[in-house]
Amino acid sequence: MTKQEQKEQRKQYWFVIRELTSREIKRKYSRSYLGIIWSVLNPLLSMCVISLIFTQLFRRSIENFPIYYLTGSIVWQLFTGATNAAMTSLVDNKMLLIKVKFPMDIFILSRVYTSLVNFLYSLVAYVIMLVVFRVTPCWTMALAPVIVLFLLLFSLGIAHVLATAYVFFGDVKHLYSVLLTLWMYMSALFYPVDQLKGIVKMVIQINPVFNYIDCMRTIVMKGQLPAMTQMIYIAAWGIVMYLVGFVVFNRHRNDIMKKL
Amino acid sequence: MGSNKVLKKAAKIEKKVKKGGPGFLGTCASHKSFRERLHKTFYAAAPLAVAVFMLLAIDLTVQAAGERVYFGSEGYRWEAGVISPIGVYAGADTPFASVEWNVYYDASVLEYVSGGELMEPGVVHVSASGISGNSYMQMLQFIPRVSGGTQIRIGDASVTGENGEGASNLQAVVNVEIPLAQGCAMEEVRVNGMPLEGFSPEVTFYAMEVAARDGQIELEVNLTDERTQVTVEAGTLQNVGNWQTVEAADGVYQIQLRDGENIVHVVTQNVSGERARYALSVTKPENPQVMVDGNDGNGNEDLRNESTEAGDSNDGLAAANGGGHRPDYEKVLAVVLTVTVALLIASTMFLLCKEKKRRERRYRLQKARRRSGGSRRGRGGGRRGQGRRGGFQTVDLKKENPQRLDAGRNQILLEEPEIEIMVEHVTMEFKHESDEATSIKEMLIRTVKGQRKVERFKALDDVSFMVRKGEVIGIIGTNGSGKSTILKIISGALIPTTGKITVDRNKIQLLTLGTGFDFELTGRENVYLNGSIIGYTKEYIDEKYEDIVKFAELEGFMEEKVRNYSSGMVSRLGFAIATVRDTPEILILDEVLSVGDMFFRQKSEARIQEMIHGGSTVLIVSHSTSVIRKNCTKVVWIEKGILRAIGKPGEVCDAYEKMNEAVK
Repeated sequence: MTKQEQKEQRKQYWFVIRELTSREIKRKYSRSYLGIIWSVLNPLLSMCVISLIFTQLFRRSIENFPIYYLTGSIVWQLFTGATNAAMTSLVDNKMLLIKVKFPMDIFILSRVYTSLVNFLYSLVAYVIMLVVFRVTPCWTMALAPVIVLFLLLFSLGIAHVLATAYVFFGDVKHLYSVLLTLWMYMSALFYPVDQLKGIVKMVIQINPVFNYIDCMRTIVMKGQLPAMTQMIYIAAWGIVMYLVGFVVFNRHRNDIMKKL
Repeated sequence: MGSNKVLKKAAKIEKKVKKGGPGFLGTCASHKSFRERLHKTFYAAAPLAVAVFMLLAIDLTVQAAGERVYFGSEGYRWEAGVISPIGVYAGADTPFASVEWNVYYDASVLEYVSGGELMEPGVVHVSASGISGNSYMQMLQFIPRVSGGTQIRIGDASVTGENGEGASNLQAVVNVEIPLAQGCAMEEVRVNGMPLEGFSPEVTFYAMEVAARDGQIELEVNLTDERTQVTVEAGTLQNVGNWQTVEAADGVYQIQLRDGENIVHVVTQNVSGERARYALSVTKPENPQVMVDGNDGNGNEDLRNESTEAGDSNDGLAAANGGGHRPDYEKVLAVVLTVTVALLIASTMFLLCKEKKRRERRYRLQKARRRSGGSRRGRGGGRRGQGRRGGFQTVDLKKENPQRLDAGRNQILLEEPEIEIMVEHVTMEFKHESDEATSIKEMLIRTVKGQRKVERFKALDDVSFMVRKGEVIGIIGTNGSGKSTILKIISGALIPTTGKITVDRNKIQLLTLGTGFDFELTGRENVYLNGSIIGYTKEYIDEKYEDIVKFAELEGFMEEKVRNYSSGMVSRLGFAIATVRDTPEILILDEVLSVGDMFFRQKSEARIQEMIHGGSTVLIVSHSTSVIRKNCTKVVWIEKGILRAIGKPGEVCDAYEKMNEAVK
């Protein structure tokens, strides 16, 4: 294949992803009047609710609780949104799978991308809240895209594994939702980690998602660079998970088609 | 508008209501002008009013009954070692029944004597019930043991009326001064080498802030009396029990700071054993730019201060006040919530209004559809009418066609055109578990029990054929005989277990009807989505969009959701998208020609003919022989995965029909 053709194909690939994504978003909000504004409102509202409940509890130990929560929440939403949607992407698009001339990954990719777009919209809310709570911008925030990138790799990896598994076992969906609940509580979205001890603390610190959230908080709220080891840790998780997902998915590619 | 007209309209509407149907609301919306304008104004005003009310309500509910707790005096001046009384009060605008609160004091300075219930050193609990006035007072007694200054605070106070209404979480704070004992006074205090701002020996409480990057401060103390001893303790309000005693190095106390507020106590003890205490509050912000203490100073807006008699406590004392130290979350949150609720209400109302319009539009669409369906039927009828002729023509064509095709084929045979699709010994095997485990649990159980019987099921067994350029191949077979599988293999979606397929996949255009449409999207969006998936570039779709719409005869419906389309409209659109490409080199039609209405079938068949003449290679999959006979030059019959016959349409179709009848 010549370079020109490759370039065109990549362009087409990108076009398909964009079309699929715009469909997901339009579809998600097709029956609501506010539409995409919900992507902005949702994190804000949940921030309000959670803050009203928990500020009293964690007054002493968390400075600026709403931002603490919101940071965790939007990162968490990016992760769960991506993996949850991507999990069912192959089954949902059964009909299109036969038509399409691109690798099947494109459906998984587009769902993850949808989640990223959603995340960008919630960033609007986030920035507004940063201004409201007077968190001054500092240069370390420029690191955020890097963290998001690794998180995306991580999510993509998990999404590939889940999507593959979901084709064969419908239960995965329910199992994963339970797992996600546990995972959420283990990610310290709305409580301080310092107060915990023992095995719970250990689990949380191993939890990659918590590390993504923690890095985000460090660069935004404290204006410091995360520890080098932590950066390496999240990068490693992202890359390794992506590779795992890729290998699992490719190995079962033909089985998936047969099954569908 | 004349009243007559209105009446007529009303009558019309009534009729429509009687008829029922979606027309009702739709027509209602055409009652424009005054009523609608009124509605609009109302919709706009209502959320605003609600928002304003809610903002007010937030303030109102807290202030309503004016419950408060306070001390008898604005400040106290006690002598060390003497029993001293202090009155704590609760009051309200209306009579109340019971009160309850905790009085917090510094146990290292004051000794509790009487007046309440000592919970633990530092906390005295006071409660009373059966009160029927609008104020209540309790006298407490303390003995000051250390001179200097201290604070007494009422906290967790609640005032409850007979019916259970009331206020809780009230607070108040008061300063107590205890004149310094002889020789206990400090002469000078230096922090980081600089004299402490505003220091005077009689004042025992100071507050200062340091920059966020400072990890410690250095404290130097000069005394008025050489013989007086000094101890320095430091810590935070959160860990009052275990403060650290700081040892001096060369007369300098180095105090480590934590984020937030740190308290440093300097206790002096004179020769006669009397003690005095100075306190220094050092605030180290975590993030230097985070706004701190927005509360103090403008006590008017601060609800907590409002409920406090000694509200204007000075900055340093604010520490004991529970920390007036972070931005006012509640307020921001309340505003955000309010705005959102208002937005919600606004959108709901707007939606209600919009829904009417939408229904009207849908109604119009439906009507249009009915009309177009009717007219199509009409047109079809017309066709049938005028065309007895048309019908004959096709018959004539058919008569001519085989000859022409035969001639064409002979030509083809002579020229031996290149082979477009080559299927060689293709076998497709599906592993099929006897009853399939669809859940992990089942699978695990079966695996453990060794019950996983794998049935191998051959969907295709050693199938070979080839397709030359320009041929129109029909693939027939009963349901489940492997037709779709072979299509999937040819289009590359499946990889065969054994065997080989040779085909240029970029040339393939697969057309199946009704699939791949998203019913929640508009027709236009679906054109782009489907187009992109089957490999059109954006520019190409932009360019051909008009053609697609025109061919599908959906002008005016493209912005409508596909959900509202009839099935005929959907299949037309699908067909239009797939065949807009000038000539796809290989076109695969999966049961396309046997569905759709008369008109569409004629039109699409014409288009297929056009494509065939344009040199496309076409694969038609169908289980209806009439379609195959009409269009194909060669037929492949697959039955139960096995290739039964390849040959001329007539012969193969006859054999196929015979078998079917035999089965019946």
